[in-house]
Amino acid sequence: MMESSEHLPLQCDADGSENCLHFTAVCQEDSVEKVQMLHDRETERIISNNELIMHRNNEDNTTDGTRDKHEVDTLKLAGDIGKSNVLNTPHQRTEVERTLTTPIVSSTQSHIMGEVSLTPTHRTFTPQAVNPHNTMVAITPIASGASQAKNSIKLQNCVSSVSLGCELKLLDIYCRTRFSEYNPARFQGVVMKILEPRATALVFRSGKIVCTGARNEHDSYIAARKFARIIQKLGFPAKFLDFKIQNFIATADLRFPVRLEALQQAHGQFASYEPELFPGLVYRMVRPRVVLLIFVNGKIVFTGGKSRNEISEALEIIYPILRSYKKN
Amino acid sequence: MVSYFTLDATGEVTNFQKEISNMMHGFGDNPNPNAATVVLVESIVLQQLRLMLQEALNYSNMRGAKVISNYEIIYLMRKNILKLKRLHDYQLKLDQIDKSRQVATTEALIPGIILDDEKDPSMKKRRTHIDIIKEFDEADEVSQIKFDAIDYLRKVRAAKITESMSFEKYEAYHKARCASFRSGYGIGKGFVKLEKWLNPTKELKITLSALEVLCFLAYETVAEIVDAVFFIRQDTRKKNGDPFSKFEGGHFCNPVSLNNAVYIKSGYEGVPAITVAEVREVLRRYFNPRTGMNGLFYRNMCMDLPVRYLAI
Repeated sequence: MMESSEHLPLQCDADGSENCLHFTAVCQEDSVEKVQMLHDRETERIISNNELIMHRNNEDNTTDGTRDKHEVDTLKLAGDIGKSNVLNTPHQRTEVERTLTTPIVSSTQSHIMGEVSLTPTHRTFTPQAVNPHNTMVAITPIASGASQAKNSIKLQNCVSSVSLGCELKLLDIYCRTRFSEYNPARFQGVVMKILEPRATALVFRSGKIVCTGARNEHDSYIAARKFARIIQKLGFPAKFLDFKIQNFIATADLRFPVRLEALQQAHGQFASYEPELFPGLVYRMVRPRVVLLIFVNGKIVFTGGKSRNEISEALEIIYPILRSYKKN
Repeated sequence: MVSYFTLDATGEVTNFQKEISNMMHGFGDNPNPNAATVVLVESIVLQQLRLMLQEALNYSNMRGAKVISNYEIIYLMRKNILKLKRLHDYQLKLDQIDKSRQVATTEALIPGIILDDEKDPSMKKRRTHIDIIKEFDEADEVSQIKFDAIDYLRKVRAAKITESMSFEKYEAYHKARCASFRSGYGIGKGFVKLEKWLNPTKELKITLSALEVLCFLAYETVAEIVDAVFFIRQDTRKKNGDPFSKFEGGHFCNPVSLNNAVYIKSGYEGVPAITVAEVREVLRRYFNPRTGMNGLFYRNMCMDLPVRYLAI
């Protein structure tokens, strides 16, 4: 009982849903006593807000009126409490009323009186008609559509570039490495692949490497270092200069269809939608500078972002816009 | 359209009936266009394109060129500045789409970061329509057109049509709008079917860029026919004594009236399929000579434009 009274006030004044959840969890394992205590607090607060009732209660205190009248008052109080909270289902209330009649109530009263000096001694304040469980709304964390969409962002590809700071002999590299391709007629660079992390690098004669195919920036960095190390082992004086993430490609799912025609009409200067050429709408966002490919089924592809932030920012901007062109 | 000439070696018929039916749906026809109309439209498009090719062949012979390139096809279009402008925009859009697609595919090379000293041969300029348009357009009229009214009206119509559609219908509509005369997106692979259709015996040598322009023109022909059908439908609704009665239909899109949007109804369900007779009426209006009082305000009053082509 002691420890419960210690941490009770803290939970009482906390209005955050998480604390409420915690509190209800605590309460469930305990008896009604704690509920009772909490409710004392609750009544106090309401009374301090509502001086009129306080006054009347004091009157009752002095006159020590009939028990029935007290009950009426407490019911009124309870009504106030009920009004202050939106969720108050009737059957729960009857359940509380049932607990009211149990003798446990009086036993808790004495406990409280002993510990908390602020508690009004008169029994008018102690019985409650509303279970404090009801006054606290346990909000189950339901993610909003925007945050759901934001959580659905998935990085697909990360392109980075790095300079090795030396001239490379591409044919030499091609001949001495596995998983590499070199076809000068088609592309003037060696295409190298590694498996862990799975990535592809385009190695150019000037010593510049473009590393693509990695899923995130960290993998891209590791892969670029590995490529640099491979080339270093071949005997080139390779360094690892100005590594930079050049491009993120990410996908997201809105989970609702979009009417692209209307979007194109309203955002003509940013959007281009030519279904006979490409089934998606190309949206060129100016700030952040990201290109979005928006499809009818609500899937989005982000390209051109230089950081994760830019991509989530772009989604934050585009989400309300697309929301208004939702197709039902 | 099944004939000895349209059969290829595998015995498979090359036709664009499915695509044309989808295109007509996309332009605002009934979801199930009349089959006879589709066949008629297909034959019109084929005939138009073959005529164009023939004329282009003459020009290429005169130039001493061995193949028909986009130069000749665009030369045919030189008098119609609006269509030159549309082709100009078409190239811009295609380039843009190519770029964003290339970035989006994982294995692609990113042109922006192939750093200065490396010139990537695969990223060299491939489409030359704009250069050729600039060559023909000496007075620089194309760049002065800021607003593509044809495109705008088609888009407004599509937006209006989709407004009240259910999602299933919209999905079907979207798929229909994706139809085109190309079978892929890249410049190399998309025109196999079109070439087989136009040039089954391979007697003409047509470059890929010429095929791209032809693809644009074929699409444009279908669009022109459907646009014109909606136009003549306004006349059929005309009542004597009520000058505005013809605007009561669901297809009239006057840009001025878009502000109050009274005349555009998102009529989609009730659109009757385009009939053969309507298409024939369109052709009659296109090809009848506009002489005398009929031709007073006609763009082609001096008959300096070729009237044989719907799309040009």
